[in-house]
Amino acid sequence: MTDSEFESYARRYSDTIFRVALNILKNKEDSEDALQNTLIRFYKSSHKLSGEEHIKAWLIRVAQNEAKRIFRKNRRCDTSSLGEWVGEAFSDDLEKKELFLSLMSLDEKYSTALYLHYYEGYKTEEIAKMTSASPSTVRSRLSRGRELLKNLLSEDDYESD
Amino acid sequence: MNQIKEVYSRITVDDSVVDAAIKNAKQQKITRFSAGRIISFAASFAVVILAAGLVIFLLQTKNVDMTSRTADAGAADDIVVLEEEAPDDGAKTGSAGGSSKSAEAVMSYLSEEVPALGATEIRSGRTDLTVTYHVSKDESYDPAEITLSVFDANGAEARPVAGEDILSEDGGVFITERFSPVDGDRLTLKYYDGGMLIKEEEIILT
Repeated sequence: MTDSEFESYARRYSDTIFRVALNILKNKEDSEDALQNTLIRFYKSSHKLSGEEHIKAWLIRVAQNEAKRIFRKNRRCDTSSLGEWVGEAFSDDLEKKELFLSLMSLDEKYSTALYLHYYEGYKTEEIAKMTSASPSTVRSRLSRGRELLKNLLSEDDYESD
Repeated sequence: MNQIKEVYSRITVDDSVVDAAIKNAKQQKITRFSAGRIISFAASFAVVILAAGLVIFLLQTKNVDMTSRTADAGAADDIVVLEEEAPDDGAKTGSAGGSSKSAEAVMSYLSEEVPALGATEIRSGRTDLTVTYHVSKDESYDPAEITLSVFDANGAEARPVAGEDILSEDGGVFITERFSPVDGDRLTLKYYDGGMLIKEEEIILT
């Protein structure tokens, strides 16, 4: 892979890598660090990789590992700056802001499964391979994640009433 | 659930961050050894020397024969003693406590089945299990290639208590993952190729 090909893939999948990390770390700055580390691994391993889908799956997997690595070093998620940052992105739509904050409040195994399925469009079996879980576990995480999200959002409605 | 898609589409990373990340990634081949890593290695080396001195001092004051204690690893639950055995495929195994068989099994598995990224040392005691990979400066560490997980007796996954990279003497990196397993825990090793699960091994710590 040439440098320009590396750069092209890096730009194409930066948002994906960042969102995967954000689901785990719930923090913008740490997720940017995970993006940085993932691209370094990608650059070093790029000669071994080929095929668009293979590269994307590899990047998602490495982004998860890098995010978990940062999580382990920090030993906790620092979500203090999330509200302020998200406020800027959703300044025109408070409902969507609430939905995103609810997603971020879920355990990473649920938010990651929901993201990969509903945003990236991956099937259960594909998510299972990327997250080292069985397909039935992924199905259960999707179902439980939807349920938790629904409960969180209905609680918000109740509180705002 | 279309709303989930819409919400995530608003979450993007700044172009300036991507530019910097790409630039830094390209510089990695040139500046492999950062000052931070060298300082980190020097500090770690000093800590190891001090710890070794302390252990030797304690053993001498207690008049304990280190050789006999190492040989009788089953009785040395409280102290992790590194065994200097004949290297097996370039690997060293150190173990103490009731988990020594498990540690050897893990070591053997990693040496034989994961030659591209063999662990060079596994230490297992009552309070922690440390797995260290040594990646020489000519290799690249691919975190997608192997993962280690520890599950408790109820099947719940335990997070590793620590993980760090330390620069080695030959310019490579020691990547250490430390867990706190107890008897009955299961250690699961998963080997990946390009992100796809190829092989899985499970060892019950006894």
